[in-house]
Amino acid sequence: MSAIPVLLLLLAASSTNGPGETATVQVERQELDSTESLRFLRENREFLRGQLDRLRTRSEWRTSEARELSAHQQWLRGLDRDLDAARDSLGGEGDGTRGRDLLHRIEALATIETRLDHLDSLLTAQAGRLHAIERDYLDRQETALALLATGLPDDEAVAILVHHVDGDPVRVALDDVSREALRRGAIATLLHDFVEPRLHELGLSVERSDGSTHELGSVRVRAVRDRLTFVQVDLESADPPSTLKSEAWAR
Amino acid sequence: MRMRTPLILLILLGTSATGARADEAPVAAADVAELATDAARAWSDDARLVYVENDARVGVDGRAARWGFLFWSKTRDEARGYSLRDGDVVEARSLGFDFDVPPLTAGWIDSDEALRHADEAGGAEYRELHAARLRNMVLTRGLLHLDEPDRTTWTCVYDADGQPSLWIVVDAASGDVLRRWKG
Repeated sequence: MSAIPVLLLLLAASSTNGPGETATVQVERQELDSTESLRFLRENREFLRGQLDRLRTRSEWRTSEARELSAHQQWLRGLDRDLDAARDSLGGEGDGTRGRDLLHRIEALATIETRLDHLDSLLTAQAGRLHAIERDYLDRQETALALLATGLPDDEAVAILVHHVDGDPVRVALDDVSREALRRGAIATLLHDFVEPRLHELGLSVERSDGSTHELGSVRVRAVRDRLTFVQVDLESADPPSTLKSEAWAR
Repeated sequence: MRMRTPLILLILLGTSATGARADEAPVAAADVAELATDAARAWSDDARLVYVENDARVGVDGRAARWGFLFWSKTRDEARGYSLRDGDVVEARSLGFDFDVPPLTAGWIDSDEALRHADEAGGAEYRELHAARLRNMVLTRGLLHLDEPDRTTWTCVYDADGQPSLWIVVDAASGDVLRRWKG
């Protein structure tokens, strides 16, 4: 505050009051009132009270890390101090009862907190396992095709040839055990390979012991992206040569 | 009329001295915290310090001529603020609204040290780049660092024209910088 207003104020004060007045006190108060105390708090009152609400409701209070446990212990200690203060200031039997209620509540809270910590640790461990499984699953995701076959189309068959329209043929040899298994209704894997995620057309033919071959038919299947697509074909349905009876599914 | 002249001289001296003290004798917050606590205890035995902020401009050394302290009394269910300047309580009044926040932990580092850490963590650079000034230093517990609600923290708020404010939260126990953001 500048000296001029001070002078004016004091002159006015001294002219209206007696000479013994302590005008210095008046000047001091006027200067202080010009600056509000705790201004930031008042200006941000709603924000800070919102933060306080969040503080009271955040789940982080209940996590099980060491620092959080320490925070919780101190919080409980604060409640204990509250209890002491309540006893000191109020006293009496009724207040003692209230104190015991508070103590019981603290104990109950501690028990609940322990349980929550335990649940948190279980959830954390479970989340870790799921994450590992998910990562493993995602890492292994590829587009693949498995061609399964049932039935034996020819007793003289020594091999099944799988012709990919735009790829090299694959020869799948059949030994006696395989032939017998197919004859009895077993399923054989003719092809299992990574493929492009698109529609594929596979031609199948049989190779006899004399070296001759004859066409069995074809199968169309759409390989699903990042999935393993199975197509099961019935080789005995290849008469006459045409589209073979098949069933497809993806995993 | 003879009495007016010595009275005016007395007031001029007082005013001059007050201004000089306010401008030339800034202190760190902890320097006057004990006096504020004594004042609050006179108001209520269970008064606990819950909040501190600068009531006057904070210098680059983390000192201010005036600091505000807020205490909470559970028995009174009321918050009361004390503003201290030059070793005196120059204002004491109820906050006027509910503000039952956690009490500050003991042993908090002083404002000058806290500001030094904040400046080293980008505050000084921000001040230099944008001609910014330190608007506020606020000592709270948990309110401005919800991830670790038990920590008492100093929050330094830097302002610059045309720029978002820079907020730096410093752990009031260790001096570690916990958080920075602009907004």
